[in-house]
Amino acid sequence: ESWKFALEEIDGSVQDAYAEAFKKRIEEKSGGEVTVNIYPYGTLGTSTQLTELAANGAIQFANASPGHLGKLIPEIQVLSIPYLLSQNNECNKQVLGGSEVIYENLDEKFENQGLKLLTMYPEGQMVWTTNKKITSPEDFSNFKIRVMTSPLLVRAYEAFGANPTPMPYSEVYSGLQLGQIDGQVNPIFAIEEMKFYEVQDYMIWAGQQQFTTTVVANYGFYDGLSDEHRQLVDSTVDEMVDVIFKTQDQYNKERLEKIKQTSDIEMIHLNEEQRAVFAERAKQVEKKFVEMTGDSGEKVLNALTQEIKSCEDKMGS
Amino acid sequence: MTTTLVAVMIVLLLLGFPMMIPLIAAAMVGFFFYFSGINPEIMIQQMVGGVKPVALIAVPMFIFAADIVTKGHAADRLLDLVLRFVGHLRGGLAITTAASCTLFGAVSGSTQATVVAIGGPLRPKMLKAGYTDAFTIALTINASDIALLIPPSIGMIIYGVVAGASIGELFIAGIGPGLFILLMFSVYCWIAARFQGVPVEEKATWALRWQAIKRALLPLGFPVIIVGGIYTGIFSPTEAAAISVLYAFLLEVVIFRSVKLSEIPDIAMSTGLITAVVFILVAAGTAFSWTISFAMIPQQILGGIGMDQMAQWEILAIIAVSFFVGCMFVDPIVVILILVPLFKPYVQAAGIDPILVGVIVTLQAAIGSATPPFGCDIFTAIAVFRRPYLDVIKGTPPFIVMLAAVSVLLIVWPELALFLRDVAFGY
Amino acid sequence: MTKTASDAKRPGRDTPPIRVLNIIDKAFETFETYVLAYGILIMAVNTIANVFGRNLFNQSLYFTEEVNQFLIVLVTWVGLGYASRKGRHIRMSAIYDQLSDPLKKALMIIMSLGTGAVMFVLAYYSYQYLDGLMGRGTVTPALGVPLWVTYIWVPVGFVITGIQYALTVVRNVRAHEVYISYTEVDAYDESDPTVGSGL
Ligand code: NA
Ligand code: NA
Repeated sequence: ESWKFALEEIDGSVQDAYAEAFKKRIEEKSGGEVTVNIYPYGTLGTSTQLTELAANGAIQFANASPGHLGKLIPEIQVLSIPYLLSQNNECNKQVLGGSEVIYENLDEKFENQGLKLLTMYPEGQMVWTTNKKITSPEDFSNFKIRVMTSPLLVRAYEAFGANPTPMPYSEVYSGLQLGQIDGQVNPIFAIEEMKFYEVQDYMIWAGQQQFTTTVVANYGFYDGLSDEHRQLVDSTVDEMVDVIFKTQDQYNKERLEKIKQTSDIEMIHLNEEQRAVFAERAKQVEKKFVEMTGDSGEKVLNALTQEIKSCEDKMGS
Repeated sequence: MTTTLVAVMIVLLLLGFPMMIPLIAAAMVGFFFYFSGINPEIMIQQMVGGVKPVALIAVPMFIFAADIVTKGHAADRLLDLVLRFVGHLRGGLAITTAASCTLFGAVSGSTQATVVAIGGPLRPKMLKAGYTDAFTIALTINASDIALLIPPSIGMIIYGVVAGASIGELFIAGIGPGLFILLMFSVYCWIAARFQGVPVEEKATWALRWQAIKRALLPLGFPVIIVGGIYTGIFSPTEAAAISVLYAFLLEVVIFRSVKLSEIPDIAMSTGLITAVVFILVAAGTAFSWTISFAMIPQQILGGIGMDQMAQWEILAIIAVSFFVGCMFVDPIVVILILVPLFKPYVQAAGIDPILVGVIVTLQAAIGSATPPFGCDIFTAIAVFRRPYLDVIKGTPPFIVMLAAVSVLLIVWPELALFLRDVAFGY
Repeated sequence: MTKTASDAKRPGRDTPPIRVLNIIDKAFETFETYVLAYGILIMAVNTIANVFGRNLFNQSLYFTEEVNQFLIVLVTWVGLGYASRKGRHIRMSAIYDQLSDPLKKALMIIMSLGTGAVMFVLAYYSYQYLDGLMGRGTVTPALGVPLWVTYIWVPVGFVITGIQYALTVVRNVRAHEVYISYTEVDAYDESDPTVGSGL
């Protein structure tokens, strides 16, 4: 039996590391009875297309990021709200890896799309790269920042005082180089991969967001698995929560080191007060989210906030 | 499976089916006979996805702008100016065509748009001057492809991302080979002009030249606006295409009054037709390459040729040949996405500079766009110039030989690409 | 322009059902030309507006990208039909061009039958694909328009094209000359390329 796993990222990325580790475990545990083929970014299509491929069963597993998944399951965009997840990443791991709210509330919604939500994991802090120093919303005035075409993200950066500008990912590098846009926001591994640091002056940590991805399976495939195989998938997914959490942390550290070594880009970490100003403005995004997703969105939002808070209390952070 | 797909494609191609059919039929064969239980709807998903990238908008927009100025006066005025300065030199007009294609292609980033925008107005002039049509078309499509090597280049960006190479370094490394190719083409133009017995015109007086400059002043705004707008960050290369439509409209309809407002929809219609003819092939090509990817055919072909034992030049040669063949059939971007990860470990293990690989890969993409059977620039030339397939490709062999020679040169003498990079980045 | 049927030989003797067919065909042709012309025009205006919006009013039009994507799908698939009508699809005619007229005609009929069949198969799968999009309620990210609405031109274009190729078969069976489409005789433009734009 051969399972296909398609990624939204290239060979050597965090998602690839997940898929490779998943593959290794599945193949070992099944004694070679099951093999997993990995298709990195671009070989089978764009993110949206991959979700469709998983839904119609051409492939069994795919990565799907909330930004894209949001078109099908609006509630999942809760993960795009700034300052919602914890500054304590251990809490993020617990919530993303096993939140009852998300998995149970959204299970049926995923099923309606022909999908099974297997897991979610963070891929690292979203960091701003800019051509000027940004420490407050005022600094963002008349600042063109590239964000994904997501109404929620557009709203977020408007709230931050910036001028959000949509642009295809492949054009961002030249857009920054030629000054068509002033900055962009992405996790560290992407900033390193796309070499955005080559054409920017500052990297700014505002702690607003984790870049999160989900792994989905084709619903019919998952549902029709033998008990033995289902156990194989489930146990592997569980084991992977810790594995990928460590891996992404290590990857981001390595990539950051690489950026430090090859460029003299200035790195700025906003302090608590500076972050609080942006966090306050992010409340507007929560409103927008509830507006867009109605009651069921609000339920997810409230429950998630609750879970994170109780985890933070327990951890004493 | 590979053999069957190739056989189906060749037979349908030679029978004279519309070019989209061999590509789609090959995909269908994959779905109906090899992928059991996989929904053929995916073909549609991939076809639609193939034409959706936003950067593709540049193609119809530049075609539209070129259509407007060719119908009006701007193109003639610009060409007049060029002829008054280089008409008396042997091969002057042809060299101008090559240089214009390089410049325009460099800025627009689209080889297809260049074929239309430069080839449209210049081809009649070259034919009138006495060049053969085969030479003229081949020169246009091949010189347009230099665009891929000169920044900004989407091909290089994609390569940089997949290979983990510096995009800034790639951009700089492409300039040397790009200009070198332009030089080779110019020499060939000079030779062709001699052998085709193209007469030179009488040298124009400075009075006539001055007159031509004045007449061309407003049309000269095109390169100024396009280059200026892009490099000051006012608009992206994609948007520059639409801005040039606006400028073409202002010039021809408002200022020169050489095109009537009522003619604009007709011109747009003709633009739409050419766009559709070319884009349906982009769509079909995307469905085809998905099939190849899904079946993991490249992995099967490349597996077991023992690349881990090979010398640097052998690996580079295999890379060049693989990309050359791939780009003959499928869009270069897709080839880069599929093949670069397969070669990456060997390139790293052999200690080859990924920037050099990037330049070689981009060059193959450029050659592939102008190479039969499925080069997208060939399609564009057929759609725009309305010549049979064979007429369009007749003049290409010498150009392909020249470009292949540059590929070989890059393998034996990497400094051609790396010299500028080393200077700029202080290696 | 290529010679059209109206230059080659005049209908006039067409039977009434054929005349009705011609009227319907003409209506479709008009629709196609309008879509192509205004599709391209709106694409230009839309893109230009975004440049001005961003630079003069500090306001990017968040829908520009999506509208352009819709238009390019529209132009490609409706243009697919129009290009078939005008016999403008790109083909490698090297071997075909060497053949005698009866063989050309035979090949043209085979080619049109095959191409038409492929178009109808693709039309079927596009319908299925759209049906799936409808069922899942997929919407576009910026405007929130159902995705199937923006793709509806795909099956429409394939059906129009399939019909065009079917008509080409009919024409080739009935007429004396070889036709590359229902209305166009198979001939390349032999006019002087040094005059005019080459378009
Ligand atoms: Na370029
Ligand atoms: Na090609």
